[in-house]
Amino acid sequence: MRNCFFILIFSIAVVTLGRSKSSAQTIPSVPITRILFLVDASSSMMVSWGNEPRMNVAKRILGEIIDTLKRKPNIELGLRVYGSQSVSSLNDCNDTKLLVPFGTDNAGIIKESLKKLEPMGITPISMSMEKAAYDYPKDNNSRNILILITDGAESCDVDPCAVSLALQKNGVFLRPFIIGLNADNTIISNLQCMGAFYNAQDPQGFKNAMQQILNAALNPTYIQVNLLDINNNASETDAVMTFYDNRSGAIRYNYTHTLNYKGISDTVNLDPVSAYNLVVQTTPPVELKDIELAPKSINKVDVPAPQGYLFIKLQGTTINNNINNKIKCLIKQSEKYGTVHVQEINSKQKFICGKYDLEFLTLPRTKLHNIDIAQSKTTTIEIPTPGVLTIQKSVPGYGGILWLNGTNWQKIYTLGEFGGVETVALQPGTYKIIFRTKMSKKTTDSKEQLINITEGGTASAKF
Amino acid sequence: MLKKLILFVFLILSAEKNFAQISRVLIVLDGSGSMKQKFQQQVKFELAGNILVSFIDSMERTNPKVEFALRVLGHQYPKAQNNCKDTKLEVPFAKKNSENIKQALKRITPQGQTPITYSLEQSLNDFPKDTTAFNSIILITDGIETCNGNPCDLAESFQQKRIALKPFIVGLGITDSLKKFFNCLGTYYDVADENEFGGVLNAVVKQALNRTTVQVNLLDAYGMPTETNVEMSFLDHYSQKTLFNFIHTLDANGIPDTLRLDPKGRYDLIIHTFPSARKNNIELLPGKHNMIALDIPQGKLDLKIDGQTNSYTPVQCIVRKVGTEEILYVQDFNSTRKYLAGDYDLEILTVPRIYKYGVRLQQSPETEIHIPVPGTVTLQPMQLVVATLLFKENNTLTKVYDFNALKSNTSLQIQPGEYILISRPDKGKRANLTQQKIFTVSSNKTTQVKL
Repeated sequence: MRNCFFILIFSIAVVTLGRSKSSAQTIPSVPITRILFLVDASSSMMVSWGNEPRMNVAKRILGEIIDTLKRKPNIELGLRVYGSQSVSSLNDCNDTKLLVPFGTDNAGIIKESLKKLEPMGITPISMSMEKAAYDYPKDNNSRNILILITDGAESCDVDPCAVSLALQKNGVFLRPFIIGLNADNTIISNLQCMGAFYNAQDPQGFKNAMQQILNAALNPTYIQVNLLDINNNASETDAVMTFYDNRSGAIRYNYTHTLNYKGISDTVNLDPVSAYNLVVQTTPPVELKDIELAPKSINKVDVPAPQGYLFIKLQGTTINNNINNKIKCLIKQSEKYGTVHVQEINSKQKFICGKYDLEFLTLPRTKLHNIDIAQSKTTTIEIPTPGVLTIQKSVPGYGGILWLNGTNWQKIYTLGEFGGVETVALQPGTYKIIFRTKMSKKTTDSKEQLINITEGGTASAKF
Repeated sequence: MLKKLILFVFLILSAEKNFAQISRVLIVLDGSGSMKQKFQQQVKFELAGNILVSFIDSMERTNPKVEFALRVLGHQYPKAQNNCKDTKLEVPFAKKNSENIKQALKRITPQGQTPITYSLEQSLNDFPKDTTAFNSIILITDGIETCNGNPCDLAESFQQKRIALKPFIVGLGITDSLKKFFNCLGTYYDVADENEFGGVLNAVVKQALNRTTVQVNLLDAYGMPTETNVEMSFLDHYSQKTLFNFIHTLDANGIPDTLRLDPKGRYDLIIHTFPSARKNNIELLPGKHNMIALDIPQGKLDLKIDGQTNSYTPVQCIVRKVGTEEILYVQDFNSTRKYLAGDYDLEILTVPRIYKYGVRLQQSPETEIHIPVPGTVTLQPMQLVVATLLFKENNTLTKVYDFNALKSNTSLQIQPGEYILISRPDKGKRANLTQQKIFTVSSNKTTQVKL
């Protein structure tokens, strides 16, 4: 049964982004899976487990597992140990060693090295992981897996979880697997935050854990993301789905959501070693955090993403001039802070259903609150076409435009200090243009003109 | 019932007329039938006339910059004719007018109706068009409007013409009904006898002629009045109507220019900075130089694009007070604007948007915000695709553009940086047809992306 599990189907058409710096290319090739076994050879491994020392159990079962892995395509193995060089009384926090570097056909060497291993020292897990970072060959297209086998907690004053997370963030390895050999609560609390933690109560439990790990690490798994409309039907589609590694934050996959020939959400292939945060790139984006995947399965998740459209335009027929095309509209969710989209006049955009506040960057700004976007409907918003005010200044000067806002005159625009003609697009309304020449030394030289702007009209002021 | 003698003074100000070189006082005198009655020992009309003439005479001799004119109402037609347009400018404004006014008064016999409202309305045209004069009206009457006019309505229409109407009312034993009638016109003076009438007239005119001046000091961060060239509005504190708008100005000596304002009433002053500054309920000391100070230290925000752009649509920058949602101003790039010193959040409408939080603006030096020139990406689809452009920053992908149906070459101007374009054939039925293009955009360079 095992053999058929280990066929690698990571021939995904999507790049594993990880540490990729390449430009304008896709990499469809099959990634190499590199498994580094990090094995405890501390003095406590001499304690007997069942009817033999733990070290012997580990050597035997690991040897069996390695046999099943040899000659599998696209897998490379490596072996690092700690606590094998200095006796524990020396408290050697640097006692970690790469016994067998990564390579193909090295299963025999690994088994030989394991046989010679004599436990004697302490448990410098963090240091071992830091050194392990250099064990993996530089390869942007590999899946780096760490399997830690230990019967003790970290001996040195470094937090193994922090080190693990940092290395995951740097893309050194995927979420590591940790097998505790008869671990007590102290060990569990010290190590389980490092990654996926398995506690083996007895030798058989150790074997089972090992098989579960390889099952998860070496089999493809699938996710079916259902983008639900307002009626909870999986009808929404075509949005990009970005899958982030939920621990390291690395961008792992981008897929365009697709409905297949049956009209149902097409499954996509994900690396089962990691857990994911999914961001559906709608407007605004929708998130689903901490997606844990069962190996060799179709994992189904539902993400509510009901969407409708917003179309914005100017009232009436407008001259397609520079002024009108320049108008932008800031869109935010009502009751929430932050722009979710900047939309241009005469354009249509898809939004998650709900209430939005619109603020057109007209002069003065045109604000519309609680605009409803409903499932599959297009909400059309029209605002008055601005008029154009031409201000002719015979000489340079200071000035501004005050807008009659209800009963208050509110300044909305500062005139340029240059002389000559200044053109300003203004929404229909009543305005005062205040101006004084630059050279003037008297306040009462200030001039003012009352201007009425009509929709799409023109007006002028001369100073 | 004894008819009362009432004196009003209306001070008419407009934006152009408040810096008085010449002060003009229009006397509007009641010549209606009731003015024939005696007040103390004299006919009211003569009593008022005599006091006026001697007062004007002495005023003109001591103050060369004052001019008087005389309008009389209700004197041309007998009361029985009910003529409610009986008002006439008897002596127009001129220098040294006291003799003319004296002669005019001699010719007049009070006889008719009391069209106060109509007369006041007409009197607005009696003032020469002189942008620097300081104008006032003194109304002397012994009673109530007899022509159904309502001076309160008039007060409103004056306000609409941006003319401040702030009367003194001088009366004698004013009754409640009369108070009510003139209520909307403000303060009045109650005259008890002949001497008091003269004294009050004197005081009222003095106040009208006194130079009450205002200097608005806009203080910078060092407490020095160097801030200037900004719009400022004076509002009536009670009605909240805007009275005048000016651009704040430093005079030839570099100090804030002096303005003359009506000392009566209360003002609110708005300085149209961003955000605006305001001082409420300002009371002026009559006849004094009043200093009004506001702290408006301003900092300059200089928005710069580093290099030449070929886009003629300027990049806009949304400026907000730090931590607030409300937009304060939308400033174009490659421009400099002043804001009150403080911390601001900027949202720059590039693609993708650039956020700068807590940008500090201070008196000096000015704050420069630089953004790079955008580059161009040209997408060249081989077939109809759905595509999404994502911007990659700090290991996070942010959507910057949706292409619902991309089929022909399309160019976008976007900020330099790393992007990922995700596309799939429009009719594609499999998610693994998703194509991913990673590319880098540089300033002023065009990146071609074939799909």
